[in-house]
Amino acid sequence: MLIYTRFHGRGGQGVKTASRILGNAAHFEGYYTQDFPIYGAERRGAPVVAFTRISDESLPVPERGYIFNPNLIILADESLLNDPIVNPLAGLQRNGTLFINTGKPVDKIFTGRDDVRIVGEDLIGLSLKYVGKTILSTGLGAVAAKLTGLIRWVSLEEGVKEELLEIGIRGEMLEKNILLAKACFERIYPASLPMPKLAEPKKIVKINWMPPNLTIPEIRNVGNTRVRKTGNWRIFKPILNLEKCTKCGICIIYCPEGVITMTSSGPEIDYENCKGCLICFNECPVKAFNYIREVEAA
Amino acid sequence: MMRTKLISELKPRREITPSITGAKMMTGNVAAAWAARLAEVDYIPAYPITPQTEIVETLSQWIALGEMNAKLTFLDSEHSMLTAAGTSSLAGARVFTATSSQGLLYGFEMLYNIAGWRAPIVLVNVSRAVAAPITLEPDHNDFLSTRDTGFILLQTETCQEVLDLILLAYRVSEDHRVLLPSIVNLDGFHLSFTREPVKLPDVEEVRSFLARYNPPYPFRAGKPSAKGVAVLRPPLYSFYKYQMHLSSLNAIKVFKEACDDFEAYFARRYDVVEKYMVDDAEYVFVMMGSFTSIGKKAVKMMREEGLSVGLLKLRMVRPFPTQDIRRALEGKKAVAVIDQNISPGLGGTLFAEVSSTLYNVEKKPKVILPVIGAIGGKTLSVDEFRYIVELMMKYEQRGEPEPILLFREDELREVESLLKLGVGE
Repeated sequence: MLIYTRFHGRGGQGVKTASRILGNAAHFEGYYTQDFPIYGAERRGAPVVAFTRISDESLPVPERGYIFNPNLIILADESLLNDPIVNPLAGLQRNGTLFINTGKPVDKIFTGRDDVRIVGEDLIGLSLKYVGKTILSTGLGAVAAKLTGLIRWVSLEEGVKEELLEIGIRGEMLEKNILLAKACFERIYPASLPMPKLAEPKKIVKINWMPPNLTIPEIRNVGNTRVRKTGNWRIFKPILNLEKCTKCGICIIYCPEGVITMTSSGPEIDYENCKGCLICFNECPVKAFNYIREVEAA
Repeated sequence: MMRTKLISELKPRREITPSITGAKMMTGNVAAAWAARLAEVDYIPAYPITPQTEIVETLSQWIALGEMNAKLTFLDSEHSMLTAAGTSSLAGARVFTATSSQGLLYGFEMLYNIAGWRAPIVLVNVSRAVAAPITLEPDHNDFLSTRDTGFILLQTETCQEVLDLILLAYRVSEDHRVLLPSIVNLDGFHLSFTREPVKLPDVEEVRSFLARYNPPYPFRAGKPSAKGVAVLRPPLYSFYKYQMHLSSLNAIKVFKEACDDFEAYFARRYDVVEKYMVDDAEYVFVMMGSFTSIGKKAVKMMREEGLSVGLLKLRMVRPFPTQDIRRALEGKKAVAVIDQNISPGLGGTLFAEVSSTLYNVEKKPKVILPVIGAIGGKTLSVDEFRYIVELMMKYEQRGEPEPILLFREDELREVESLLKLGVGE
């Protein structure tokens, strides 16, 4: 195998489509290719990971499963960098390439990795310019294709067309997406990617019997979201204006996540777990709530 | 100084890799739908369940667009879906349906009936581990729960194999020497949602390879018959059941004949088992399904290091290809059966079956190692295969191995931290 690409993003950002655009382009280029996504129960905003493997062997031994040792990582959403469960940079090989979709200069983003090449581009901005909408999949696929250093524009163009037609995008919208892909493809410069290496060997351990307090599948610990802050994929953040608030408590009753509590100064929102559904905003009888945009890359 | 070879130093590509010439990128689910379309099935009773849904969605879309001529009905449950599948097959229709995990178990009673009616439907099962605890990821407990139903059971490793084995399944099931339904299994996610190059056979060639179903005694207006009758004289039950067993055994020969034909038409070779570097190997892994790909990669790497290893993949699980397994494994130093299922209180199902198959063989392997791994979506890596080879060498000297669970230190650490979070102890 030559290229192990791992895409990280959130449900709805088009990470799966991007992995398929890259898959199509590599396939049209003549490489043996495999792409696939992994997600749990489908949900917009939840972390999603997708993969594209590209091989130049003529009779390849197919590989399967999660890519633990990518040489190319495409990050659709900067906010995932600090998610300890997603851990998007895990296993990225030395001298590999990390692409971040960001409006900031990449040297302003802390990744904790100084042994990899980091490339950034504002795909939201480019998408708004060429398509007039925030579509990430085409840009992510185009950037990935260029970063492999293996794919020519003709193959990528075919790859974008095939995938977008399959999901029902045609006509002017398809043309705009192709212009977007071309712009992304031209802005990015490929660098050599290291040949994939196996991860460090891991020890196999023995599992012993343990008592039922640990081994029956149930959660008894309230507040078990200490590690995964379920509010981190919020798109809109509700803001309460305490001067307007009458402390009636209706927002507390309607909040489906139970993340609003009454304090002496009024209702308080636990932003670490608020998912931004805006039911509080809709239900407040005195319109004391407002909201602002949270995740720029959504 | 040694330098890592850089990709940019490789020659730019000029021609297409031969193995993908004419192939299309598609998921295992879409490959399964294509097989149903190419087999020109008449009827598709359906009920959605992850990770199978894409199969019936794809078929439904083709039918709506007029690209495929079949009747698709959504039923109220898998039990009704399977009942509709079996009964319409008895009327002479070629029937395709698909389910997964909990759905398969919800319709389970009907599996025994459909096989008993001798209705040759093809049911695709997209493997997903069975609750509780609930997950969407695959193992083979759902598939193997059907092993005593009378269905022909086939397992797939690649998206191409999904398409091809469904066509072969119709050939075998509808053969009057067999007349039993088939389940073709593909692993959730690792095949169902994974796209790979798949070559689509020509529809005319499929028509010629797979003739229209010729039902022996179909339901006909004005010609009443009773099927699935009550047998109140006990010897009748034994007689009918044993006939099912003998018909199932016929499926091995019929499958092999069909494979020869398949190769003549489509230039791809299949058999009831697949031997990967087995013939001259001293240590052999036995496994099935999509993770066989990971096993093959491990075998290839270990071979390069001089280890005498091989892998035997079971493509057919019912009927059990006893002779093929015996001939492949006799004389080996050690065999490890990797079960992606667990029968609590026993261990792995395949281990028991492979061991009993080898027990009476004169030159049987010195040891058969029971290994349980990759259940509920847990992955396998080359590390696990290396560990199994070490154990095979150890137990080959002496010992009575107990079932070994493949669990890595890093995975245990992850479990420990999640337990802490969930139960706070």
